[in-house]
Amino acid sequence: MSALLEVDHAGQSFRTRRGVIQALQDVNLTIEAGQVVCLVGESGSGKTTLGKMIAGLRRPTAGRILFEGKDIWNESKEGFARYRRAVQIVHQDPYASLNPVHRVKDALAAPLERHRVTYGAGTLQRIREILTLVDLTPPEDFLDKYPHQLSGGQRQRVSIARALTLNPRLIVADEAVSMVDTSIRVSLLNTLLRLRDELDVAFLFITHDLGIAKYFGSGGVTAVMYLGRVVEQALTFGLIAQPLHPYTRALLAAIPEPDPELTRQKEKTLLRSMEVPSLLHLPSGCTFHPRCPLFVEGLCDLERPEFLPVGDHRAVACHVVARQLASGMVAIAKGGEGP
Amino acid sequence: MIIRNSGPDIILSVRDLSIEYATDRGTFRAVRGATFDLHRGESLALIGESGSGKTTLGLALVRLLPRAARIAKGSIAYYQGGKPQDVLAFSDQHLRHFRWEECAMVFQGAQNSLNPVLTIRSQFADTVRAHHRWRGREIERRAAELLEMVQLDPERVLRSFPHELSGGMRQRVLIAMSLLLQPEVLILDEPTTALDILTQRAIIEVLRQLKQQLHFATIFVSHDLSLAAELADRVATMYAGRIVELGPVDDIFYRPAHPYTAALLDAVPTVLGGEEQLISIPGSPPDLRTLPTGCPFHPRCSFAIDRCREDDVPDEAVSDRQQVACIRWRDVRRDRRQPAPAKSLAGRIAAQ
Repeated sequence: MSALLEVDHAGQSFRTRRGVIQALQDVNLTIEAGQVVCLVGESGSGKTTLGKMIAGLRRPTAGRILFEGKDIWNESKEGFARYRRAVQIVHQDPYASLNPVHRVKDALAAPLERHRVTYGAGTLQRIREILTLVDLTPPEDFLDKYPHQLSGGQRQRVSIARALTLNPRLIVADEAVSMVDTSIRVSLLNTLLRLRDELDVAFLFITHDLGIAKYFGSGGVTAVMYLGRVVEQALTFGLIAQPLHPYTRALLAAIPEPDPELTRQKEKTLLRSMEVPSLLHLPSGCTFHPRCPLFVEGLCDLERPEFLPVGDHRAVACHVVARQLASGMVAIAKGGEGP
Repeated sequence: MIIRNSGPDIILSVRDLSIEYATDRGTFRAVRGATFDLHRGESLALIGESGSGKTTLGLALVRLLPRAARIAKGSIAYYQGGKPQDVLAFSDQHLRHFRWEECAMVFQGAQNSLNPVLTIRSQFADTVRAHHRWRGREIERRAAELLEMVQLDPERVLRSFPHELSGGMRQRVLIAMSLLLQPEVLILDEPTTALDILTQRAIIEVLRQLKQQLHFATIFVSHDLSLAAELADRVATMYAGRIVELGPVDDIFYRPAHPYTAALLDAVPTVLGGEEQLISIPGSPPDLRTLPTGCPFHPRCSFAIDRCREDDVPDEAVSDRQQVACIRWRDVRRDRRQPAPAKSLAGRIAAQ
C-alpha cells in the first residue's frame, strides 16, 4: 500500500531579478496515515515552502508530490479537488488568516457549502460539532463572534476548526502555535494531539522550536532542514538523544533551555562561521561546509553528500558522519524511541 | 552572587510604580504597583506574556512611554555617586544625558530600527555627537572596540548599510551602539525574539561576555523563560501588570512560590530534559480593562480559595531573597528539580 503522502525528489526554485533562488532541492519525505512528521529548521531553510508544496499551494518545479500513490499535478480535476480537501493547512498568524468581517460560523460554513458537504441546518449542526472538537465550548458562545472578539488562542482554534471542516487526512500546521502565549500553547497542542488520536489525521508540523517538536512529535519522525535540503531525519526522540548531522548537533547545543542547570551543562557551539549563505549563491558540495566543524577539505567543498539511510527511519546527509558510521567510530544507539 | 535587598550597590530603585493608558474604551492600568531594586552589575529578567505590562515597565524606566500612557503613582530612583535621583523629575536636558549615558535601551524588533539610508559609521557618530564632542577618530576607535566585543568585523560593518547586514548582525550593532557611552544600565526588550536559534545563541554569548568585561547592569524584558534561565541573576514574573514573584534565578525555576510561575514552567518543554508531561493553564490572560477582583490569576489558578477571589494580595517574603504575591505560596512551593534523566541526556550529547 502506498503512503498517504510522498514527496519525491521535489524541488522549488523562484526566479527573481537577482537570479534564481533554489528554495528547495531534492527533498524526499513520506507521511503515513495518522503519522506526525515534524519539520524543523531556521528561516530560509525551506520548511514553509515545503509545507505549501505538500498542501498543494505551490507546484514543485522539480520532482513529484504523490497523494495515495498518485501524482497530484497529473491528476484529473476531480482527483486534484479530492486531494485539496484531504490536505489542509493552518497558518502561523491567526490574526492574518481569518477574515475580520466574517463571523466564526461564516468562516466555517463557507468550505462546507462550497464543497457541498452539508446544507442549511445540517451545516450549523456540523459547525457545532467541529467547534466542540477544537474545545470552543459551548459552541453557541462562538458562532456569532467576529475574530476581533476572540483571543489569539481562540482564533487559532477557529483556524484549526476550519481546517477540519472537510475531514482532512493530513493537516499542515505551519508554526501554528508559535504566536500563541506560553500559558495557552500547551492546551492548543493537546487539542491537536487529541484530534490526531480521535480522527486519525496525520500532521506535518512545521516549527523552529525543537522543544515543541519533541512534545508534539514524540511518537513520530522529525526532519531537519538546512538551505532547502533535508540534512537529517530520524524518530524524534532518537534525533534529540543522538543527533548525527553537525548542523543538528549545533542546533541542539544552541537552543536556550528553560532550565538554568540544563543550560549551564550545554556544550558551546563551535561553528566555523555564523554567516548563513545566500540561497542565490549556495556553497559548493555540502551547503553546510563553510560553517561545519567537521569540514574536510577536498571532500565537503566538492561533493554533495548523499542522503544516506543509516537505520530505522533514520537518514543523514554528511560525508564525515557516513565515514564514522562505516568505520564503526560511531554507532547508532538502540531504543531511539524512548528514554 | 549574593543578592541583598538593599545596600550601597543599588543602581535603580522602583517603588510602587503604576502606569495607566488612556484609550477610546477608557483608562486601564498596564502596570500596577511595581517594586524592585536593580543592583550594579546584576542582570534581572522581567518575564511575562503579552499584556503583562513588561514592556511598559521597561519603557517607563527610561521615560519613553507613549503619549497615551501616564505614570499614575510611584517612583523611580537612579543612584549616582550613592545618591538617589528622581528619574520622574528629570528635565529634558537631564533626561537626554540619562538615556544614553546612564541607562540605554535596545528596543523590541530593534533590528529594524536602524536608519536604512545611513551607514553604521554615521549612526555611531550621530549617537555620540548628541552627547559628546569626541573627534571622528575617537568615535571610530570606540565603535571598533565595541564591534569587536560583539564579534563583528569593524572594517566591514562600519561602512555597511543596515540592509547589508543580517538580523543577528544588526541586533549586535545595536547592542554595541547602546554601550558606546558606557551606560551603567542596559535595558533589552525581547533581544532574541524573531532571531534564528544559532543567532540567538550568538547574542546570548555576546551579552554574557560583554557583562563580564564591562560590568553594567541589565534588565531583560522577555516572554521567553529560556532567556531568563540563560542570562538572569534574578527573575521577576509579571502577570496582568503586577510583579507576582521576584527572586534569584534558581529559586524561580526550581522553587517557584507563585502558582503562575509554577504553571508557566509546567507548560514549557525543554529539549534535552527527557520526556516531560506538559500541563496546560486553563483560560487565557485577563483583559486589563475588566480585571477579576482579588488576585487577577485566581480564575486560572488551581490553588485559588475564596479569599483569593475577594481580597487584594500583598507581597510576602518567601525568604530574604524571594518575594511573592500569593497567599497560598506555602502550598505552592516545592522543589521541582529532577536530576537524573535530564542530566543523562544532556551528558550523552556533550560526551559525543
